[in-house]
Amino acid sequence: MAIKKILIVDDDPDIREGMHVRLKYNGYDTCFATDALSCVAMARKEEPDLIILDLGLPEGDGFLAIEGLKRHSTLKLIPIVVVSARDARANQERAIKAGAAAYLQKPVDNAELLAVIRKGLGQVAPAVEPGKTAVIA
Amino acid sequence: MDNFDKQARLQEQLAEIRESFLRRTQGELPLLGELLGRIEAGDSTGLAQLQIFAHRMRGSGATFDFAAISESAGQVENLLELLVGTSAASVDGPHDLRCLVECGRRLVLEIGAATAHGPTLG
Repeated sequence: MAIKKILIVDDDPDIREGMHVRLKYNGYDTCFATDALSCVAMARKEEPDLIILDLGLPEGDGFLAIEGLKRHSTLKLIPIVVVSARDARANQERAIKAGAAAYLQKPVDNAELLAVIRKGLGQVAPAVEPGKTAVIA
Repeated sequence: MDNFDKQARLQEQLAEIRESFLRRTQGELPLLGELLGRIEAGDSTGLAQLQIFAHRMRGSGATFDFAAISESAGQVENLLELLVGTSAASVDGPHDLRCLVECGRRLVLEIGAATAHGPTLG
């Protein structure tokens, strides 16, 4: 089974790195973007299987990134998981309406994030090796 | 590398990232102090920069288990949303700005406390 690639879009380098090591541990490949414009550019270049997107980004927020992705004929098919510290009451519905597959509030529960990722990727089984714990830390 | 080693390596990497977060945040304290000083003096040009900082601290503080930092940053961000998104006429200027600066000072204290009690900073 081909390794799935996940684009992590967050302007905080520590959060990007934290997600990267957790996703790598769970059998995923990763690539990164730090703002809305580079998100679309990186999605074109890397063709990820799923995008984890923060909303509070410089140079246009996460909604701008969703709009850019949804305008593209193939990128619009990539599932987007929004992970944001913004108030969910004000942003969740808007994000889902804009085309996000899921909305998770920071701090994100890692088990929940992995479950949402697997669902978005259509994976019924964990992406980890047999016998290994799926969620750590 | 077996599963135990992989898990140990993961925990080690996450501890390094948490330490990196604290170190970087500690380095930003002077800027935060300067922004609060400017706002206290009536200069509103630093509000947008403070909003970006507070938003980042709210998310990353919670992500790295610094709940007090996240909570204080959330209060700053919420106040800023009111201030930045509201016309000047409907803002209780001195009172709201004083609350903002107080919340900001609390955030500085929380960062200082986390730095003192968190991982050793090299």
